Amino acid sequence: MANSLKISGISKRFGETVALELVSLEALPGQVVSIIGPSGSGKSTLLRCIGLQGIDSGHIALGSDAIVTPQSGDGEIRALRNGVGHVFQDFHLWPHKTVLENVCLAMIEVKKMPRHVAMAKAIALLERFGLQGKAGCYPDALSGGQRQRVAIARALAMEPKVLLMDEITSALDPELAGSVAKTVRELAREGTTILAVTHDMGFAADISDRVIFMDKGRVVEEGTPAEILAFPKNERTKEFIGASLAKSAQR
Amino acid sequence: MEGYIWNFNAVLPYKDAIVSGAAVTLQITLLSIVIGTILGLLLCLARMSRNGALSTLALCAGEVFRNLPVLVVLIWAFYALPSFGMRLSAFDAAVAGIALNLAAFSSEIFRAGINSVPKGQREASLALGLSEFQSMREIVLPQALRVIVPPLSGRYIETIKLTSLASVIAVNELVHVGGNIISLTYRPLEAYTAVALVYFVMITPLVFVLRKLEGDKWQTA
Repeated sequence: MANSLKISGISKRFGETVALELVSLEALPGQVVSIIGPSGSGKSTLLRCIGLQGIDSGHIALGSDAIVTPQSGDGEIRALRNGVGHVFQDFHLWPHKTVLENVCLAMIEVKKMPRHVAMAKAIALLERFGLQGKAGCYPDALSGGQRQRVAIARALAMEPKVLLMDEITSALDPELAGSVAKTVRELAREGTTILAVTHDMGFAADISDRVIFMDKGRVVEEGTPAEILAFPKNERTKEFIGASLAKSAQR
Repeated sequence: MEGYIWNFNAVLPYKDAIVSGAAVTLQITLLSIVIGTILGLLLCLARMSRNGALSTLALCAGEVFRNLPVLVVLIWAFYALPSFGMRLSAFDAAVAGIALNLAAFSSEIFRAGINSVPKGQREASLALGLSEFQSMREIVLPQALRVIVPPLSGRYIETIKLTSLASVIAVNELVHVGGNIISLTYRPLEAYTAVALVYFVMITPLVFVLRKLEGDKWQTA
């Protein structure tokens, strides 16, 4: 299918360190897949391998548009990159550009849209995320939740087929995290495939069709949120979920 | 020199020569700044390139022109280059020597500025499909400018002062004009005082303009 993301047996090493070992996963159009796991388990590296850096084995396919293998050159990685949108953990908004410019820039520079068309589209996106009054602001003047919505709007402006989100709720209070979960579900309903790395088990339960547990660069267990979060089978998964739940109970 | 009787009337008739000397000083300055800044940016990009040979070459070129006295480079460019079949006018040799010095220093200033921009900024732009060039032009350089402008404007002021060295290879700039006036009037104190005043009048407004520019860079951190 056109929007499905298929990752088959990819590995990634940094020098001697193995960051990813034969990781496979598939996300169908409109599906939300969460990736959970301890720090250093390779979750963020996995997202970065989808369009931002090369891989050492296996392949990544985005529908029929792009396929990236270890032999792929810049052109093929670019093709994959054009089909995906990244929302980074710290958002990486551009501080010297206004909210509107942050959202417009890639449409103008990469898609060569006329400025007024890009601006109209950006304003529509900002309205959708409740940011209509903030178009002329610089990112510094925004709250954490607003920044994050700008980051999502910026990624969506390029109409990605797959949206990759790296711990986007880590800086938000539970209420805001809840509203982000709603947004993510909406995007999925519209057909965007979503891959979200998270430490927030509640968020994973709220948004996901499927949950993947990773440890030491490998996929350990995968299933529905109920299967992984409530009734994990693997010992390592049980241990991690147990610890996470104990920690949120403390709060 | 107590009891020296100052007589500026002796140098007054040469004021047109002083003005034309100042004009030459400004020409050398302007050309050196434009050429030196562009070369400096290119040198910096070469230094930061993933191509090892290019990066090493840029490193060596930078070290050579940062570490050699500008005076020596000027003299060498003017007197030694012709033996390699490259004959530069005194004016061109001066511009070449001063511009290369500025390029060597500014390349390091550019590099520090670019390195001061968090890596995530570039990555976010590449992730959205911008090319390396677009990302540099739209995202990295504008943010690097905050760090680049203050030391670079310092180098620009230094560049004006360095042009005085061109007098050694007989470029008719301000100091050389001063020397000519002395040989005609035997009034070195008045002549050099006049020269100093003209430098002061040229440089001080520039300092204010550059300081204003530093203050204008977008304020938010």
